[in-house]
Amino acid sequence: MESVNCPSCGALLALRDPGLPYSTCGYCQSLIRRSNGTAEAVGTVASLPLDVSPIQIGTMFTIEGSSAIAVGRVRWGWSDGSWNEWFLRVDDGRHYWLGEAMGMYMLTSEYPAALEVPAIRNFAGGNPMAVAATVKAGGKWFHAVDVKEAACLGSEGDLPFPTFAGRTMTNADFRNADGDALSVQRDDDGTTVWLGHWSDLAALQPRNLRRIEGWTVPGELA
Amino acid sequence: MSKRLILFSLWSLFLIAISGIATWYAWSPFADDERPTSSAFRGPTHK
Amino acid sequence: MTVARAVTCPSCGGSIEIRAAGYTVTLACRHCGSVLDVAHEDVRLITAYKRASANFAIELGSRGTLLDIEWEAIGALERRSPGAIWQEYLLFNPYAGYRWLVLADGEWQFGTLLLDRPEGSLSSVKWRGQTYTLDDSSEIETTIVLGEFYWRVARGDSVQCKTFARGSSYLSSEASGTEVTWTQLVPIDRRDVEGPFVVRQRYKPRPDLRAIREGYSTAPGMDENDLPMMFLVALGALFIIGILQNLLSGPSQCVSNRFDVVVGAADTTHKIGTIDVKRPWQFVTIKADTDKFDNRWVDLDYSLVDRRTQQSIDAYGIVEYYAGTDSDGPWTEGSHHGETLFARVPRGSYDVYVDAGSHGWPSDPRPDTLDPKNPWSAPSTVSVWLAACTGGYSWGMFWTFAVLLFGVPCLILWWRHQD
Repeated sequence: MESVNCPSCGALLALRDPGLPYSTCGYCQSLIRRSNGTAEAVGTVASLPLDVSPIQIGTMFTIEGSSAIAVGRVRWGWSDGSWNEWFLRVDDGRHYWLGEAMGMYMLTSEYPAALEVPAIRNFAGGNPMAVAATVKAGGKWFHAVDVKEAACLGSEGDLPFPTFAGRTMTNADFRNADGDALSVQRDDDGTTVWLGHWSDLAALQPRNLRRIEGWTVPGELA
Repeated sequence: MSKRLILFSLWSLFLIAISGIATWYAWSPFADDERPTSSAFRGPTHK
Repeated sequence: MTVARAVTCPSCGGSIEIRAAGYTVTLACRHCGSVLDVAHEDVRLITAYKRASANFAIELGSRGTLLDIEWEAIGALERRSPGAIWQEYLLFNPYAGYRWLVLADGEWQFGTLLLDRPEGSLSSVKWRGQTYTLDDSSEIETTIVLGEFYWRVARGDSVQCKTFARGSSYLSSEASGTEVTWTQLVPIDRRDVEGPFVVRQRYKPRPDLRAIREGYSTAPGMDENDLPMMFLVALGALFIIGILQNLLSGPSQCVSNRFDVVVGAADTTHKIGTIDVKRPWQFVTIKADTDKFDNRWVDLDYSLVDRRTQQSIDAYGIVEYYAGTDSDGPWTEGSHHGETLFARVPRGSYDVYVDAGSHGWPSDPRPDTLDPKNPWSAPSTVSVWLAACTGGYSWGMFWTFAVLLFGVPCLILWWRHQD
């Protein structure tokens, strides 16, 4: 596994996805930007608030027959709570976001084609998303269930964007009756669309889950 | 039949037995072997 | 490493652990019941309350294994619809997420939030190929909140709820604002819940309002309604007691006599007659009836004198009747009838005597108020008829047994409706 020394505190950091530009130092909370073999500290990120997520950096999943590993996490907060977004890297280099909220999981991969959908193009242009808007993506119909402003609460591991405190985004979630999910995220860098589905943890066939004191990992997940 | 009902039936049988014995020996706590009031004078208790 | 987040209640200062740290948004303090916003690092007080409800069947923080997964009860709600009141418990396992336990009418249901939603019309929905038909549609209000929840919750929250049934399985949709959540509810055996979880026996749910309206309802913790049967048993037992008293008290023999008593005069002795007590022990009753009078009393001192031994058994009776008028209008008190009971009279032949004396209220008529010109005018008298009988029985005993018999089911009924 590749590694990098934190330019700020000197700690040796394992890189689970060297192709990603940003890493968070788990020791001094420095945000490290890597490019062309150099690493520089570009600021600090907030330490993650305590939670009982069963996922940790290094948790493995099986997605459509391929193995994926959690390489980074961003925690987003909004007025009525907060949630985790885990960044997963598949062996072949593809990435997924695994959203974790209310004890349920939303696994999505990027789906740029949906940016052409009028309602989403309108949203990307800075306009509000209509509540109960209906869109078609990937051959499926979706309706908007919530639109919220979220702020970055902290991060860990390797990530595709900087996670300074104060980074905000607008997130629009769509779903349908089959449990499919569509997530549109708009921030200063632009708008991305992510398509996938809702599932429980067991369906992702996780391995190397976090050990949580006072709880045993259920047999089917151990 | 609930446990409570069984207990209650036993209680009823007990009372029947007590009543039989009391009647056989002509015993009652309601006998009038004492004057209703000790005073010789009587009158209405009406107020 | 402990994973519970500790916070201090800004209302009562009590220390509370957040068990589902990272997910929990609302917390109702287990000490004072105050509702707190714990979505962020700082804890904000939303609504202060003085006392946390203790009326929940499952103790929060207790764990149990249901369907092979260990769950911790972290939140509890009491909710009501126009026709019912029930409790809902939020279960949490960090690896399996959230589930629900619903307790209504002593029956438990296990609830799972649906990721794939049922679709259909107003009267039925289809989910995973099966059709569920509309069972109930009503507005549900949350009345009590305790513990932690992953969404904003408060007392008085109300949602529109539709329940669709297929056999004993239910799909329930709750709509608040634009958000609709679907939950699948399946029955779960009471013992499966009450075994693993700490279920407070004393705080079983109240019987549902519909059942109260119907009169009787199953008592908490009772499988069958035995109250009507209890009343029947009591009635039967009282009937047997009546028959027994009638059969065992006889044979009956009566004597009677009549005499006059002068009001205000000295007591006079009269013999009523002779009666025979034919069993080893019998009751003897003496009934006294008088002619009509006002504001007099008649003292009756009875003696049963055993003809063989000359031993006497005494008892006392009285007949009194008063009338008058006060600010509330006319009143009367007493009657012209009296009954006296001798208990435990042994076998034998008895002469029945009575010492009778009558007086006036508030005072005896004085001789000097009599007409001096007519000194032979008849003094005031009371006529008394007496009847002495063997073989009577004690009505006091009978009614005591009635109270002891019917008291039990009546007490249960009263206690149940108190609850």
